[in-house]
Amino acid sequence: MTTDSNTLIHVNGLYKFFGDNKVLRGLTTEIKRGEVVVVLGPSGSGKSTFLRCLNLLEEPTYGEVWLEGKLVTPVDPYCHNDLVECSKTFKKMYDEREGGVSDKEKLKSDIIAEIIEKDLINSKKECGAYKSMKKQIFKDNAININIAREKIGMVFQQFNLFNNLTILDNITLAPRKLLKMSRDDAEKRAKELLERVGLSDKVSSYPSQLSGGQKQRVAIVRSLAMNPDVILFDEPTSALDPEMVGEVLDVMKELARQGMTMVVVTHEIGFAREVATRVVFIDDGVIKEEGTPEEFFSNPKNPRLKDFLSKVL
Amino acid sequence: MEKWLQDLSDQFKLNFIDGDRWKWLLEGFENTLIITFFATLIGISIGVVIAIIRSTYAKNSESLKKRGGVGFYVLNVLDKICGLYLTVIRGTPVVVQLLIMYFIIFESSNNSTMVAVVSFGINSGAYVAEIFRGGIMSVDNGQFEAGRSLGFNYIKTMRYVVIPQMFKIVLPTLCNEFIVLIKETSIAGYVGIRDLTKAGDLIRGRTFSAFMPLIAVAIIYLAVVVLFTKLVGKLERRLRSSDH
Repeated sequence: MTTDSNTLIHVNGLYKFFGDNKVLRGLTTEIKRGEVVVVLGPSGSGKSTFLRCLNLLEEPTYGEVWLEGKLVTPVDPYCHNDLVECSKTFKKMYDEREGGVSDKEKLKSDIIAEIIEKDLINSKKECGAYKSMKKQIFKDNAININIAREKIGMVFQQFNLFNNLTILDNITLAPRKLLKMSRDDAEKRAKELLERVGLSDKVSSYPSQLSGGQKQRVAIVRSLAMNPDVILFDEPTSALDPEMVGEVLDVMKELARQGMTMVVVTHEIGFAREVATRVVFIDDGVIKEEGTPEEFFSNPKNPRLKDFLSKVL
Repeated sequence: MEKWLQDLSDQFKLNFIDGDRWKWLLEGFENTLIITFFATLIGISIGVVIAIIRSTYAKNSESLKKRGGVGFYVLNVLDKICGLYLTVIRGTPVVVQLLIMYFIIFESSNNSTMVAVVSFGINSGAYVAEIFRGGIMSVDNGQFEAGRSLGFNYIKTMRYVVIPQMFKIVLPTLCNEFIVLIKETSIAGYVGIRDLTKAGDLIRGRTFSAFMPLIAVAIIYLAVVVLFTKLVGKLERRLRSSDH
C-alpha cells in the first residue's frame, strides 16, 4: 500500500502544541507489523502524547498519521514550514499508492510537486491551492477515526475499565455493539481470553473488586477482544504495586510472542531489553535515537540518552 | 375526650363522606400524579438533551472550530439556545411561567392539565439539565477515553459508557428534583386545575372547616414523598452493587 506493505502505522512530521508548550516537534517514524516498539524518555518528553496522537485521543497540531495506507489525522487546516518536508513524503506515498493511475490522477500529483517546488509557504495564494489539494487527497484516502480505533487497541495507565459493568460486560460491550457479534459469541471469546490471562473466575465481578494487576489484565483483554492490529500501551505498569507489575508484564510478553504489534510507553527497562524489537528514545518531542535493544543499551550515541540510561539502569 | 372523638368523627364525615367528597381528593390526587409523572418525563428528556449539548460544546468546541465546517456553528447556536432557555426558566417563578403558558401561549387550549404538564416539564427540564451536566462532567474522563479508544463514536460513548454512570451519580439529586416537582404542582390550582391541593381547598370552601381537608392533603403529599424516597433508596443500593 504505502512505501512498504509491512508498514502498519506511518507517522509523519507530528507536532503537538499545548498553548506555548511544544510537546512534539516533528516526530516521524514507522511501525511495522509484528514489531514491539518500546518508547523510552524522560517525563514530559512527549512519549504519552505521541502514543495518544496515534489514535487521535490527542489531536496533533500538525502532521499525519497513516494506518495501513489510510490517513487517520484530520485534514491539516494550517500551512507550516515543516509541512513542506512531510508533504514530500506525502506526495511520494500518494504516487506509489496510486501507481499507474489515470491522467487526471497523475496531474494531481504533478501539481502537488509543483507547489512544493515553489516553496508554498512563502505565498498565501499557493498555500490555498495546496490546502485544497490536500483536502482532496484527504477525502480520497481518509479512514473514519472510529474505524481506525477499532484496529488500534489501547491500554491505559489508570486501566479505565467501565466501572458500572461487570468484567464480562466490559470485554463484550465493544465487540457486541461495534463488531455486531452475538452475545453468546462475544462472551465465549471473552471467557477464552480471560482464561489466557488467568482470570476466568472473575467474569461476574466488578472492576472495583479487582486488584490493580487484575484490572490491567482485564483492560488488555478488553482491547484484545476487538482483534486489533496493534495495541498501544500507555505506561501500563506505572500505577501498579511493585508485586503486581510482573503479572501484567507476563501477559504482555505472551502477546509479543504471539506476534502482536505493540507500542509500549514504559519505564520497565527489563521489559524493553527482553521483548522489544526496537527501542525508541524520545526527548524534546523528537526521536533522538532508536535501535534494537542490544545496540540501544550497550552503545548509546546521543548524550541525552547516555545521561538518561545512566540514571535508570 | 369522648366529646373530642365524637367531634373528630363528625368532622371526618362532614369533610370526606358527605357528598362523596373523598372522591374529590382522589380525583385531585390522580391529577397531581399525572401532572408530576409526565412533567418528569418531559423534564428528564429535555435535561438529557441539553446536558449533552452543553457538555459536548464545552468539551469539543475548540477542536471543532479548528477543523472547520458547519459542526462548530450548529453546536454553538444550540449551546446559545440552551443557555438562554436555562437563564429564562431559572430566572422566573414557576407560577408566572404557568400563567403565561395558560393565558398566553396555550390560550386557545381547553386541556389545562396538558398545559400544566408542559409548563412543569419545561421548568423541571432546566434544573434537571444542570443536574445531568454536573453528572456528566463528574464521570472520569478516562472512562470516556476508554470508550473512544475502543472505536465507539462520541454519541455511542455517551450512550453506553458515560450516561449510565451519570445516572448513578445524579440519582439522589434527581430524586430530590422529583420531590420538589411533586409539591410544586400544588400551584396548578392557579389555572383552575383540580389537583390535590385544590381539591382540599374546595372541600374547605364547601364545609367551612379547614383542619381535616388540609391536613389530609398534607399527609397524602408526605406519604408519597416518603414512599418515593424509600424506593429510590432501594434502587441506589442496587446500583451500588458495582462499587463495594
